[in-house]
Amino acid sequence: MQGKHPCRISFRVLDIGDRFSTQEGKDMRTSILRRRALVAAACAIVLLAVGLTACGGDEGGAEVANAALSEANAASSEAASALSDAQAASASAEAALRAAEAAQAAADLAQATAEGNQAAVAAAESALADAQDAAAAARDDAAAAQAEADSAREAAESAQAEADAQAAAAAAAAEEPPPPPPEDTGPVTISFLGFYGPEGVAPLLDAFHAENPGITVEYQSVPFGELNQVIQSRLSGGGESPDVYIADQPRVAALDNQGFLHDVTDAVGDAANDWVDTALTASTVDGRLMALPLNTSTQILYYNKTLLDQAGIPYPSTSPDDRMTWNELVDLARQAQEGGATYGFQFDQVSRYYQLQPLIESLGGGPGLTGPANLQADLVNDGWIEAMEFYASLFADDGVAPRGMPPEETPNAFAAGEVAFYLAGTHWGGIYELFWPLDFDLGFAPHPYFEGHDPVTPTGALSLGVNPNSPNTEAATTFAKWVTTSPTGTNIFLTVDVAPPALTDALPAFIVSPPWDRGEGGTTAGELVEYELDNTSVVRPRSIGYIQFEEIMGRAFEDIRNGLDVAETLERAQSELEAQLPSG
Amino acid sequence: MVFLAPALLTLVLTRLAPAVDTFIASLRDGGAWSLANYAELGADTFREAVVTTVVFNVIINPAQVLVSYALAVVLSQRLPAVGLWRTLIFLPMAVPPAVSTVVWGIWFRPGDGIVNSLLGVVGVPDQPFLTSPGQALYVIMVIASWIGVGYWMMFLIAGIKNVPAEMTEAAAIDGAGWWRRLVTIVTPMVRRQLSFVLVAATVANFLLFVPVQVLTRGGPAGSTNLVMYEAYTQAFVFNDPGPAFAQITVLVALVAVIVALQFRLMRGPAEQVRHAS
Repeated sequence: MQGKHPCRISFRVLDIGDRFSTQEGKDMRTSILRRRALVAAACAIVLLAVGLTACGGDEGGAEVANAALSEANAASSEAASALSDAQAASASAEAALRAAEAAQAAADLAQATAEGNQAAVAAAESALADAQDAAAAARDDAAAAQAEADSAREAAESAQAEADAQAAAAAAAAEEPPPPPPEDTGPVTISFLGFYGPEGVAPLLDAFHAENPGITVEYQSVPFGELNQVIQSRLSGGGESPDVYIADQPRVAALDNQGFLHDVTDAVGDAANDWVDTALTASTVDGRLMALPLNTSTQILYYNKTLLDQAGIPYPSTSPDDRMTWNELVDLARQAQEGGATYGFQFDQVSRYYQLQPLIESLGGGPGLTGPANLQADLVNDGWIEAMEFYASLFADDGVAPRGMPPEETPNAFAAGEVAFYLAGTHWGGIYELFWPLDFDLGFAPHPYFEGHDPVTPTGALSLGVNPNSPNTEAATTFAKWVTTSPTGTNIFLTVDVAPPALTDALPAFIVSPPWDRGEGGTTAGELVEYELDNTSVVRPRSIGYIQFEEIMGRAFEDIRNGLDVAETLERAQSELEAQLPSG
Repeated sequence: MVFLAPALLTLVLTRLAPAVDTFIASLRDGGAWSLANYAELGADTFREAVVTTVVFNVIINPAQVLVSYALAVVLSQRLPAVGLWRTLIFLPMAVPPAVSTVVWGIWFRPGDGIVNSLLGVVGVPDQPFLTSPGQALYVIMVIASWIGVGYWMMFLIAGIKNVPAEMTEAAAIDGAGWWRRLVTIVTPMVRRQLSFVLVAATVANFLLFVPVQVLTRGGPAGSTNLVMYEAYTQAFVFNDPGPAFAQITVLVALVAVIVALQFRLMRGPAEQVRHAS
């Protein structure tokens, strides 16, 4: 506004008011004063309320407070009627927002009131405006308090759970002390937390209920991306529910470190030998079995045969002996892109550690965590930098893969025919086959490798964890064991999650089921899956700091994908990890 | 007193108690009183988050006030279908922020996003938007403002409508033009609404969370890592709530100081009015 001081603008308003409409100027002045009176009254009352509460039975304090109250009431007698209209909506927010002004407002009280008495005419209008402002302010104030409320609620919940647990323990101790009841004393209900759709899990629960009439399992589903946060918030502070939950295998050590896992070594016994080694190892901490492996995983280079036909590319073989190098794949992807594919290539779990660990390990960069407990970061070495330079080149301006597409969208992009080569988890093959028919033929090829280096593939999947604070750990363990080791349970679970089972005996049936019975060059995709699980897979590092590691690496990978300098990004992640990893 | 009791009770239970609880929790470490949580605030990530948050607010708050005021001035005129326009501008407020954020994310996608396609029509080359450390924060500002501006506009329209017609008419008779009346009469008269919008927008934007969580997770290279998201990561991703309590306490203190300053600045001219009388 032409660089004028705001005060001058205000003077001008007043001048105009005096010149053309004396009543307007007066009204404006009195409305300002009246507002001060309202604020002062509200503040005085709130302060008094606080004072009264604080004083309790103290007579002197109450006397002072009462005297002040009557003074405030008398002082704001004119304002009171307007205030009562506004107070329901405005008092709390107004008070909160103006608390800082309380002292001065109180000092202005007498003067404001004396002049405020002249303001009878404008009262209704002004009060209405105040109410509107204050209502809106209240809403906003609520937003401000939201963050505190959220964190406080978490704390309150865990405190509540703790109190409940203590109360329950106390009650149990107070009653006559029978030994913990065996499982056939009566029906128990346990809760099971996962990320699968409830309708998919229903047949599993039905079969379990038929074989175990004494136990009822209630299933609760949350989105995959939120599973870990939900586990953190519900189990921290000794939460008793859920009784059984899906635990990501690389997080088992960290979950155990937080006391979120019941030791199932004795309950499972020799049955543990029936699981594939990588899954068993990933569920074991310090020689104790802390979770029951559900399944395992590997990755397949899927391709869209229609897009390859369009570009005149012969179908790559499914045999591990004909494995493509990364450079060969990039050439084919570029060719497919020239032939009409929107994108030549895409990763399934783009910018996630599971997806990129094989590239780094293949080039000799190591897993990124070292030391006796895997608590030291080791990111800035030649293997890491070479792997990350290659990763960045895939997404560069002349690259074959898109930036800005999050992992959740990649399976849709492949199914929509936008991607020629898709390096993705085994479960997607099953999902496309059973639930999501594609309108093109699906081809299978082995995970690519770097020329002159050994092929490496990712592995590791999910386990079932039992909550140690559950009042029904026995029933919960029974259920978890049934799902992961019994023939019925493992078979039905294959329809819930189509990843390869962790149970060795269940694997032969899996690898001949569609779509794994198909393949190019005389090898089926099932044989490829078996080969990768046996020969090329590496597990993610087991560390109580894995949660921090995965999150920080995810951000670093995304930065590199977006074209930031590789060495700088890795150094930044390295120092972040040093700050965040628990000291071993 | 009796009439105020429900409001006061709500105030204490839903505002003061959680705030005090957070503050106390920030001073606890492993069951003992300690400043350890505050000692961790020296970390680079938190200091960078504070700087990012301040830069974000220094730009977005004046911008939101200006844009919403400009819209309010235009839409308080007699225009054809003015109600429709106001509704359309207000409408983003009625869409859940997570939903509109996802849609914006797809629009801003480099390569095949709608925004780049539109820019291409007028000859601007493809922009990286959310994938660039230099642009991501501004894209977040655009998304946050798309949601916020319509809401703030409604308050300002109400304020403009409240300006007595006699004053503007009298000024018009006196020869003041449209711009002159806007600058000299209307704007000072809606001071209170403008200040409210500024304060409310400041609080809302300091506590902004959804677009960051949904679209950038603080990246690229920490360029959108606002304090709210930093605290969220600390508490719920790393499951280390202690430092998060300290971060939130610092954030609330920062907001309180800035809002107090804003009140102070707003009050200045009002005092002048009274003394002048």
